[in-house]
Amino acid sequence: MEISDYKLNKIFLKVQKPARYSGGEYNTPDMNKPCSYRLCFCFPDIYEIGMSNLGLQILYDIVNKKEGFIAERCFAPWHDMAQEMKKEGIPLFSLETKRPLKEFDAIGFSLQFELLYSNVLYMLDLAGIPFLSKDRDESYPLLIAGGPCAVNPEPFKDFFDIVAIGEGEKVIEDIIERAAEAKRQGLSKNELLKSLKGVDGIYIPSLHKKGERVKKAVLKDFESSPYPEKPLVPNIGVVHDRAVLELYRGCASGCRFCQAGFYYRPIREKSAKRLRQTAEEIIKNTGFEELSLCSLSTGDYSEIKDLIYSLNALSKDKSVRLSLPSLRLSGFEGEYAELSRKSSLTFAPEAGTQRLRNVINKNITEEDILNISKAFEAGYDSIKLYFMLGLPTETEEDLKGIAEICYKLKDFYFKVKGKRGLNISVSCSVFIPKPCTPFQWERQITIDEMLEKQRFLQQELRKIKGVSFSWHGAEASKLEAALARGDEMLSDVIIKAYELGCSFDSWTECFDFEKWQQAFRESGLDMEEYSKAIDTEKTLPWDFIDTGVDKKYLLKERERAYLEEVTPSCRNSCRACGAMKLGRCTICS
Amino acid sequence: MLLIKYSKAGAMRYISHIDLLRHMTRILRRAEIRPEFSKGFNPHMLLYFSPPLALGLESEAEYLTVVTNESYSDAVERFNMAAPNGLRAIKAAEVAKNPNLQAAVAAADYFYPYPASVFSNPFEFSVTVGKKNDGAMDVLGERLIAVKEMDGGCVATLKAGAGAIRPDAILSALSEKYGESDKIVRKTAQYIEINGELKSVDLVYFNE
Repeated sequence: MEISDYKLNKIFLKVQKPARYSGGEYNTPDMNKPCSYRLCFCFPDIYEIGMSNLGLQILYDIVNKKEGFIAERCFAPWHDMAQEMKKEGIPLFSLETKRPLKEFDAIGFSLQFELLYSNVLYMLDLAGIPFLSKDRDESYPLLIAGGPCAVNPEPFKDFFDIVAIGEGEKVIEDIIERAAEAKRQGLSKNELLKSLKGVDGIYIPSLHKKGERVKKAVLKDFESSPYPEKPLVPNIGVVHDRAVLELYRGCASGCRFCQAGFYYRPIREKSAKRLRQTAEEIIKNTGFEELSLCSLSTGDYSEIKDLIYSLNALSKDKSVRLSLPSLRLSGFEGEYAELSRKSSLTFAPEAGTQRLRNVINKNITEEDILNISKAFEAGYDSIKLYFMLGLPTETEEDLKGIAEICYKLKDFYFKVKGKRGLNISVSCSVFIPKPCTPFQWERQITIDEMLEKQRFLQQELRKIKGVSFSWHGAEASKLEAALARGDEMLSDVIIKAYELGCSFDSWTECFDFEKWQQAFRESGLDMEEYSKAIDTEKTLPWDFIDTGVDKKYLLKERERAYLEEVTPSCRNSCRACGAMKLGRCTICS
Repeated sequence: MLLIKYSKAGAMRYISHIDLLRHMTRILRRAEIRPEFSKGFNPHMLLYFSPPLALGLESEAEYLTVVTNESYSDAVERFNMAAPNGLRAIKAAEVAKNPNLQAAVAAADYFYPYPASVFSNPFEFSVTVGKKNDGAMDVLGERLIAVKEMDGGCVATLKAGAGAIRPDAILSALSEKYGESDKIVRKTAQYIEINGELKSVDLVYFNE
């Protein structure tokens, strides 16, 4: 039963940006086709964030292209909308057909970030769906979770019937095909789950036995993998409001703090030829005025020169701006920057000294930083620098190194352009030890240490004219660390936190650290415990997940970190991390 | 220069004016209608709109002026092939000069799902204006230019531009007094003033 237009119209006019909820975007697939299995993709953040997510667009496209299947979308309604919905007795509904979530065959949550966990419950609550898998009978939809957070599903496993581990393209098809078949045959949820157990990328918390392993799903043939050539064109301005090309999965750099860099191995690249064709189709089908390249280290893509050359021609022909994000310093070349003129350039050295950059294996040298002067020559006056505080082995010298980099850049600028006009913005996050990285056993610094380091750096940077400093909230980083390395005890904590009023924790204005602390306390737990160093002998909550990368490899990388030894890029030679057993690394010959 | 008359309805009535601009630039790109761009560091398409439509209202008489040197005999078809549901081109004409409708529109017709009698005493018809909670009131008065019965309601001609009263504020006043309607308020025509007389935009630019 769809919710009536009249009822919705009434509440839409009372809330901010009703187009977040009204649907009807250009390129919406046919919602009236014959359908035997209906899925709703839920994104536990607002429309503007969720619509910027490439994974969601990929999976939405795959399901809607399948005969007999329909996928719809639902984003977390902002508080004003939730309030109106409660007042009018309207349950959470999909954007496309305005169907209550409860009436779908399955619901798929995308978990991009640990601080969105409370919003899963926020959405389930609005939908009138019980939080725990064991409390839901056959009348409720099948609940599936996926996304990068599935690398450690233990904190939220009790909420879901299935957790998809790894890349979703194939897994989502496996699940819905069998689920549709089970529906036709009238099988129970439990029978369906039993039949899915053991499939690559499928973790079924209720049937999982100790000692069993779950293998991460990997898209083997990335070159010809499905990609949305008719993506939805957002109704309102969203965070990433542009055409996106995914150049490759994985990353050759092996920065030791980076989860994505290890989790998305093996490295699989698409050919420049296919990318160019895809770009042309997307531009034609959407009318986007900007095209961006997306992958973990865009500048390292094997065919980057050819690709940019051919995209530049397309860009001139169709008046489309080309935007090149997340360039690593070593991949930077002045001419690329010139092709995509922006108001500022962004670089992420992550650490202030060469010593610490060696520890974290960020393969950038002082010489590479010198390269930035090319950007000044190309006409840039504004530079954004990203660093991480609290990295393993960090000392005061390393923090001072951040200020030194700023001084150096000022000198370069002075030589090229003169005294005034340079803008450097330094942004610091806090190191969070993440599962599936060589630093997964490390401790996170305490909140007091975070504040102290921020204060110190602020003082150092205040002395330099033209430098601004911003930092990431200490308390939110603490919670993120706890949820990232959490165990199964945390599902209780997440429920308690939600019941205490937590939602939209990734929004500074909504985040309430006190309540989270209370939730931990009331569950008999201490948040700080989760950010302490972990003994390398201990079994980790996420050890049962086979990401391809051997634990031994991670340990070896950890040792090298403490020896301040750099591990060269996989593009030079294979480091035998183990990911190849799940699929071919296309940069390995 | 191309003048396009279009309608805005369905899900698109929740699109604000600023987002509508983005939709239009993308529709024109998909339709391969090529406007001129501004000259500057961040070039943008040269597009001009008739006055913004209040959020939640429908319209069958919105206008977009596209500055272009090319002529498009099939502009309506092109636009409609490329537009999302809810935005539809109705007609298009070449104009020699930008009609500047944003400033020129002096009045507009609105369909209200209430009998014409609700507007019989415009000087006693009070409307809450300004922000919802400050309670400032105003009287419709001379800003109601005309009213006539229509199927299922009436069409009121309301003054537009400076000193106008928002058509959605009038709807709120009507719902409060006579109860809510499940029908949607719709703009049906826009007028410009020529020699002290109101002439519909359609008449002036499309000879209809």
